[in-house]
Amino acid sequence: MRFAQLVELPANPLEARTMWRISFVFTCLLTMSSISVTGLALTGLALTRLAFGEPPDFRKQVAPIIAKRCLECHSSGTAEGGLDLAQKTLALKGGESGKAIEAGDPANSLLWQMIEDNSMPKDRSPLSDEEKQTIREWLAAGAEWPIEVLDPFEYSDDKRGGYDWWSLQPVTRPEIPTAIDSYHPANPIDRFVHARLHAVGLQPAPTADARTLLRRLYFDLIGLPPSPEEVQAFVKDPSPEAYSQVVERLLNSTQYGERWARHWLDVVRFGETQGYERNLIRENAWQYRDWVIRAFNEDLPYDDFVRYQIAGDVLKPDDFDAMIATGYHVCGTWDQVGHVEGSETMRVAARWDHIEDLVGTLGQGFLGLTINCARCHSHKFDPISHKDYYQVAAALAGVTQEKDERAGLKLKRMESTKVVEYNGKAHVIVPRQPPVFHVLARGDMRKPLDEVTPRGLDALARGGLSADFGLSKDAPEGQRRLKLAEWIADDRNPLTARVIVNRLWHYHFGRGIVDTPSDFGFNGGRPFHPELLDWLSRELVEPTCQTTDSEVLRPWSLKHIHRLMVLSSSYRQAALVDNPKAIDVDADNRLLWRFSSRRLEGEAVRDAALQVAGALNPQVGGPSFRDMHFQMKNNAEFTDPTGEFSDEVNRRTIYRLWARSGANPMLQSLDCPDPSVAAPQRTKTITPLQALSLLNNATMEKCAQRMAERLSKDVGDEAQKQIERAYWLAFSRAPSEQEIALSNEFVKHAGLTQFCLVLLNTNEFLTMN
Amino acid sequence: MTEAAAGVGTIALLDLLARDAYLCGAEKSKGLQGIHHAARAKQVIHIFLGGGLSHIDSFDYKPELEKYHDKPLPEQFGKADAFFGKVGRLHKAHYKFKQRGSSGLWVSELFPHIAKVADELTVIRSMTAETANHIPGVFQANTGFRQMGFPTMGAWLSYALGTENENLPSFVVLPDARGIPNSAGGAFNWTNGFLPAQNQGVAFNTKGEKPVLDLQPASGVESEVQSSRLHFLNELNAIHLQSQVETDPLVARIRSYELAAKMQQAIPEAMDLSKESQSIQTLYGLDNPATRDVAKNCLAARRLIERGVRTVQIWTGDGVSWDAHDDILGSGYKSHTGEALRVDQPIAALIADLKQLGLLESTIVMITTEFGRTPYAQAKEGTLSRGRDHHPQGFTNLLVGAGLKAGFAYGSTDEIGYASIESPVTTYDMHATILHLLGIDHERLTFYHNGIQRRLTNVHGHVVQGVLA
Repeated sequence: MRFAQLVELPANPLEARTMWRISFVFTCLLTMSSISVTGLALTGLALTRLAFGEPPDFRKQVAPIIAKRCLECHSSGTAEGGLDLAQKTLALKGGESGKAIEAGDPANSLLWQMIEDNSMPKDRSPLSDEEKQTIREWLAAGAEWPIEVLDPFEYSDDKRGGYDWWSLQPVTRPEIPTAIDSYHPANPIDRFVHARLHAVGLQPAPTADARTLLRRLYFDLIGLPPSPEEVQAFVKDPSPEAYSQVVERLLNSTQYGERWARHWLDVVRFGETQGYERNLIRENAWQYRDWVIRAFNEDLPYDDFVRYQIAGDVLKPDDFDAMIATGYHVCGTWDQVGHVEGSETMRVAARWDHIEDLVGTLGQGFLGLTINCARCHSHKFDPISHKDYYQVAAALAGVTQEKDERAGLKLKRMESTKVVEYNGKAHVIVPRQPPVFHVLARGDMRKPLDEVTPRGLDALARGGLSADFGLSKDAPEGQRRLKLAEWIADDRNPLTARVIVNRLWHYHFGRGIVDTPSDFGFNGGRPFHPELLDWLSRELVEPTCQTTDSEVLRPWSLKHIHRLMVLSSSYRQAALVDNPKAIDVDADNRLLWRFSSRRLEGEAVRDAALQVAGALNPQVGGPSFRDMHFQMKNNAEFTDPTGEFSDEVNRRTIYRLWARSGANPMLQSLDCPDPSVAAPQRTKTITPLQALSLLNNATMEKCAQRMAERLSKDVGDEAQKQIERAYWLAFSRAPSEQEIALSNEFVKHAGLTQFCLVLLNTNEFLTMN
Repeated sequence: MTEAAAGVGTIALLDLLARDAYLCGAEKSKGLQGIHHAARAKQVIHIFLGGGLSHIDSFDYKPELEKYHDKPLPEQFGKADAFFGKVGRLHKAHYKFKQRGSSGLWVSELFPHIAKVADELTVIRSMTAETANHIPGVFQANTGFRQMGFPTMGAWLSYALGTENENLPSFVVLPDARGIPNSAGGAFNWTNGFLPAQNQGVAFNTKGEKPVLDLQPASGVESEVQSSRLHFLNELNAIHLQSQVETDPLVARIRSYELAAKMQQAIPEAMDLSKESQSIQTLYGLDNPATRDVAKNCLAARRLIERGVRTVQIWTGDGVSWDAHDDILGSGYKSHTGEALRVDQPIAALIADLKQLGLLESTIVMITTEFGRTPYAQAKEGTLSRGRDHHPQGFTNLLVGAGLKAGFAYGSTDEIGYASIESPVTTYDMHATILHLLGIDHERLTFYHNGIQRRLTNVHGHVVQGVLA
């Protein structure tokens, strides 16, 4: 099915192609073998059964066939032809065409007749001979039906995922594979990775050279290049601890949070204006951005990171940080005209669209599930019912937003060691007791069906996590979010840890273990290494593996997972290795036989250019800088970039006013996403417009100019020294003789500023190896 | 079967990757091949009349409305849900209607020039929209979704078909000289959304000297220095290339700078309207202050289409200038009379010019709006005014060009123009039809994003067979 679906994609688009290739490698290496094994097992089972003449077991053999092949159309709600095969009494009663099941008499059972001549399943592939045989034998043996209700979501099939979907199973700690000593594993991650490489006869790449490794680590952990002095010190340090010491230093620097908060802000589609028509600026939205930075820097346990964002105001009503965390709920788009200015119908419609966005962001961000797809009908691909959607929506129903920021807050915050009062405004949740929610037929607000209570998803209950919040339909708003937060942050939730661990992997290695970081459902990718994913997920919740002697293990510590990943030898591999065999087997490097090079994100390009120029203002936190012309008429209007180059705007790009409709064209050409929809993965394009931006943009020009001035200050006026210094600043290395010669010639001709600009445009500057 | 498919696929993929995966400006499709079936057209000009063009005052002639003039909305139409809540008396058309050309299509005096090319028009009089709110409506007209951030039609076309001229962007947006249509959601109307960045619409600056930001160095570097720095950059990249194993991205980067240099020439050349004859300039209305802004964009659109740009989008006004709440008949901004004065001659000239050049054989011109306007006045109950409120239940869009029935009206609203009753057409249908004409099956043009194979038409849409020639 996956193939059929992918082959239908247009032949040219890049992403489709990449996905297709992944699935190819993946299928060949893994799935094919398991399919054939299952096939054999089934055949064996059928033979055994025939030999001994036992009737098929309803639960194990018949129910899965009915669930997978019949219930899509014949269950409560749809019940085509009046036939409901999900409920025992109704199934035995039959449908509009009469009784479907004649116990002991297949020939006279409509059910058998329909499947035998392939009239059913209608417009679907017919049942296999084995499946038919099972049904026939079961009917012949008396059609025993021991279960009252069959859940159509119970089983996965080739069109959709059920409760048995891989990502919904409880996380267990897999056994760590035996170390392959000649592959030099550094920690359990490597033992998992190496086992897979070994199985297909591949070897890992040697460790990257010190300079490359340090640049990689800097860009990855803090989003900035190392200084020439830092590179030189590291290259000279022979001690085995040198690398882990740098890791520790970077993880403890403020820049770490500035780098990694940006990733989370992509996931929650953080923006500092409303979007839509009015698009007013949210003057205090930056407080949430700063909270996320602090949360990363302080290594706030991830379960608390979840709790505070969803229900911080309920958990700690007087606490500044907990309140600011709820900025999570109100950082998306909000249509002021629809919510406030339109007719009553418009307002209700805007509200329902807003709720879909809230449910979508929560489900995708924390759980990797597209719960929002069940607004109009049960999810087409995942075991999430139409009712589930409204139950989760009811848990978020108290989340509202207003035109103005929330005023009159009286909160307490810690400043160094003393508690201070915070009185004022903040862009945070405005909780409001909602009306009782109903399921809406086809998502139509004019067609309410049954009332619902706030509740989680049954699909996540296999590890003992109940979806029941114990709340009534009119439960207090705050309690709903609190229960929701606890349900997501629960150790037994199968998705929470898997999803965040996979996000970390995605950013460190360039692609997730699951390559769709916000979708762990049927439509998403399959984990290329499920055991590794589970091991890391357990390790997050219940850490056991100390990375350094001084590490203190704490549950839900993201820094612990960072350490494991960047200290692994898999991460430290060289990127530039020629391995024809590996390219044959795994051109996409899914198995990690080397490190994957990648283009820097837009933020890292701008930040690095400023840093290399010596112009980066390291000021941490506070109100956002504005780099676009802005005017307030009926609406907030952002036009061209100001091109301003001053301490005020030369801060890290995360501190830019992230305005909807106010994209900086240079950052946009470098794939910085539009903050209106979540961007769990960024595209990485190389385009002519990007080239034009990098060469001609005022900020880049000024960076080059400042860099040229800096070179003179750093090493005087001798051209060769300036060139050498420039290479060290931009690339962390000395130039070759050829490069010196070419550079000298160019500097003479075009000047130092143009020379610096060209360096900032090279592939070497823009790529992390 | 699976293995064979995968094998062939892999070879093809590696080949494709090597050739153009990173070469985002590279040509992908030429001519009328289409990707799912043979195409009838290969390029699109989309003229957007943002704010809500009144259908009953322009292309949807309702003689019955004369009888109902100054009467309350009859009961059979239900309770009106006016956006601003003011349901006045019904108001007849503000302009006289006439049958035009040999087709006899009805066009009002609001558009005397467009009336002259009536025989080229395909008038869809049965449009419906899902919202009476501008921005979600404009987003839907451009992306298929009411929410912001989804890829626009031009971005989808670029993604599917690439460009016919790698020296120009595949999707060019020409905002009105009044500025970027911020009141209508600005750049979200030409965003690539989650499609790769090379598919984004490139908004040309139609006010000043420089058509594209950063096309030339901010500080004005001589062209000799520009080419020598490009040469030096290529040398450095070439040295770097020697040490690389995975060369594709680097080769792509080198190529992107070559294309950028070509774009520096190609864009100003395409936008240089002085190359056009005086008679053409006059035809479009370049010499008339009232029509000059839109005329420039229409003429530029024709030049861009000639040079192979896939989609050109023209904005008339600031995105909501057709929003005549107060006075349809007034003059200037936000009156229909005033807005039509700016666009009528240039649009008609564009259609006639494309026709005479034979470009209408392979180009579609879409003239659309996000919703219509109420047949009743926006006024206190029981009174009249010359304003009309937003009206999504029924309105009119125009199509012109390749593969379409010319001089033809499709579908209809009821006798007072309140709701689409015959063959209603949604935005999804409109998009499905355009894609169809370009050789694309709208159900098979998909891109995976956050759990869903996304389409321009969401989960809806039918090709409107009735308008196809």
